[in-house]
Amino acid sequence: MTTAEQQAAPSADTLVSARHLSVRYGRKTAVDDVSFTIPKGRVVGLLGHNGAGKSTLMKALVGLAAPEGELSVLGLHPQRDRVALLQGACYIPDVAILPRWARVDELITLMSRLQPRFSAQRARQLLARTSVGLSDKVKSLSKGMVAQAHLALVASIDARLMILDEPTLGLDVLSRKAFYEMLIDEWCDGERSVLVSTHQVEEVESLLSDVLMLNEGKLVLSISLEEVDRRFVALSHDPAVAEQMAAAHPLLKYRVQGGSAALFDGEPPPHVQALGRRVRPSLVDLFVALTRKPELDRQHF
Amino acid sequence: MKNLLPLMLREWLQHRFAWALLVLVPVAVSLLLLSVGSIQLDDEMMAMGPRQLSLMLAVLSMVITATVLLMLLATTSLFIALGSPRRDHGDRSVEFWLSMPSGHAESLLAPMLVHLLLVPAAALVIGYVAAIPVSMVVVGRVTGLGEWFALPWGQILATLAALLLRTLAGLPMAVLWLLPLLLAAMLANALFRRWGLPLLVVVMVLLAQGLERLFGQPVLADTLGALLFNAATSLAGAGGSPGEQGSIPLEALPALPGWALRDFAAAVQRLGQPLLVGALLVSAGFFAALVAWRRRGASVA
Amino acid sequence: MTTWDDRQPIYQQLADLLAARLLDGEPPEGAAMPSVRVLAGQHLLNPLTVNRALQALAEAGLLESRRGLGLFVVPGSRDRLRAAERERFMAEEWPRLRARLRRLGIAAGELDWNTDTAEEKRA
Repeated sequence: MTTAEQQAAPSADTLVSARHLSVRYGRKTAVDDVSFTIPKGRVVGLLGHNGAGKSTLMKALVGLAAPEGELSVLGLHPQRDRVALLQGACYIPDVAILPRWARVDELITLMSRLQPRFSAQRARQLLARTSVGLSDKVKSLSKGMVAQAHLALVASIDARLMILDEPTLGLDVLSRKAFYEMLIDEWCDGERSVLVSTHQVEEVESLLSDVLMLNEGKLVLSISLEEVDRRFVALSHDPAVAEQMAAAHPLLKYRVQGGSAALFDGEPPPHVQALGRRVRPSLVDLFVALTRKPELDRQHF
Repeated sequence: MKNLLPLMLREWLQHRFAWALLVLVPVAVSLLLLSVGSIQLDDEMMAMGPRQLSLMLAVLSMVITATVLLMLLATTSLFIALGSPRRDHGDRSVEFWLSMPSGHAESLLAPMLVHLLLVPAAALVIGYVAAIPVSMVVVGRVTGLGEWFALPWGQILATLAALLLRTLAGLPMAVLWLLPLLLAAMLANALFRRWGLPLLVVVMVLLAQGLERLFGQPVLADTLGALLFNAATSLAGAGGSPGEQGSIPLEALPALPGWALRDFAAAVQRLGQPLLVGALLVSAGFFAALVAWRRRGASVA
Repeated sequence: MTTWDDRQPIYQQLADLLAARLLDGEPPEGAAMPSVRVLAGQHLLNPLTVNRALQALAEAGLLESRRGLGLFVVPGSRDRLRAAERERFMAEEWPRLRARLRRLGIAAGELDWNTDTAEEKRA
């Protein structure tokens, strides 16, 4: 995803392009020298612990934080062209922040005037599938219902880029599932891209096409899931053969359920493969490993 | 400023019920009290003939009703306007508004236009309209309904229309004169919340003392006084009062429209003072500060 | 939500799942495969992953692409799948099963070969 060729030639198919992007607040560096691109037609997971810089990175993408370095979103400069950008991109900073005084149908009215790509009819259709009524006041809704309403409203915006900060926070399993279904049905048309930050890595892994992992502001992993499958070989093994595994210079040693695993870039030699069982390098394991030990050789990623 | 109108629509949607109450309740209460309470007349009134008395009561009650409603709504609106930059921060819905493609300037301007101009104007118009039934009750109880119907309505309505138009035309001018004070208060409130206004007062007192020491004259007090005076006379009395102080110029009623026009011209003339230019420059500075505050406040992680 | 194990890449697991369904005759030979969108929605997978799975099946000769119409089940694919499954069973599963039977001391004659259940009858 971040090969040199892609970075050198941004095209209309590249929705987001960041090079040496940093965001600082006073002395604190929330995002530290991050570079990546997001082409169209992708579902990108932004993974990281609390305080890793996910929200700040997203804010920088929509012009709500001052970036250092190069950042281009939909071909625009986020801070300078914030209003134009928000007409083509859609941002949910938090699903629980709908105005409490408003009724749902009032929000539909306002959004159809404020957001040119919003479809009131679509919003009503999507809301009909939830337990939220059009004449409900936001302050009378539970947190989960507010999230559902907000997601339905945002899903009715015909944007090329959706930036969602923890959209499933506070939702129960059924609502989360409904959201994932909607994400696939509505937004995976090959033209749009979605950037989703989340804690629930296991649930979301199968929906993603790419992943960006942040740890303490630094990008520790930026890769497509297809490449993970193609390039990397993970071998789970008994702790007894750990030393032999280590001798083969794996990229990463990490723990899995029931033992240890080693991640190799490319096929390890057959004698090493015989020591363990081939497993799928899951995002959860990679996430835990990389956000604990960020000394991974970044050149390979 | 593409989203200015939708943002103004938000004010309507958020406050319409409160406004309705603020208009209907006083009118209903007044009608009720006037219907059953006792109406006291002073000696001068007792000496008048029924025709004259009816006319005076009608005009008085209508002007008073309109003024009371204006005072009520203007005071409430003032508070809303002063608190508008910060009002969505409490429930964090400001993040929702920031995710809409609206500029910072128009987001700050919309509530000001609605609460400082549109609402007082509407209050005036509604006040005069609502005053008609009030006058009916008052006149009906004192001299009889017959007298009320027999009143020279053409003349009365023309006079009231003149007064209404005079005040309506004077509203924007008054706001312009008061703009530096209003924006200073808004900025103080935005930066320091409830400590804003006390802090502003302290700062102004210190500034007044400093300037007085510097120039030997109460510069600040004079300036503020001039601003307030000009604001008040923008509404009425820029060219002097229509009659003697304290007297009710019933005879002058037909001449009121003429007076209103001349008074308006006088108020417009007063706009040509360097004081206004200075006031507008200072206001622009305060508004720019508010925009900068909103832009920066949006970037807080 | 379909749960995916940790043994193979997800696209491979989906390909296996779809192949098993093909073996059961859904969809029947010559019929169209469900669209990428439908499959993605059913299994809550990214369409790119679904594409890879379908690609793998096409490369195995089980599906063919008809321009403008989508992917269709190649006639004879069921037999091919069954043959491949048989071979895998013979080469991998049977030796393991045989070793286990030996360990448990079960002779061939002790096994119950009755195929009474409807599921087994269908196969």
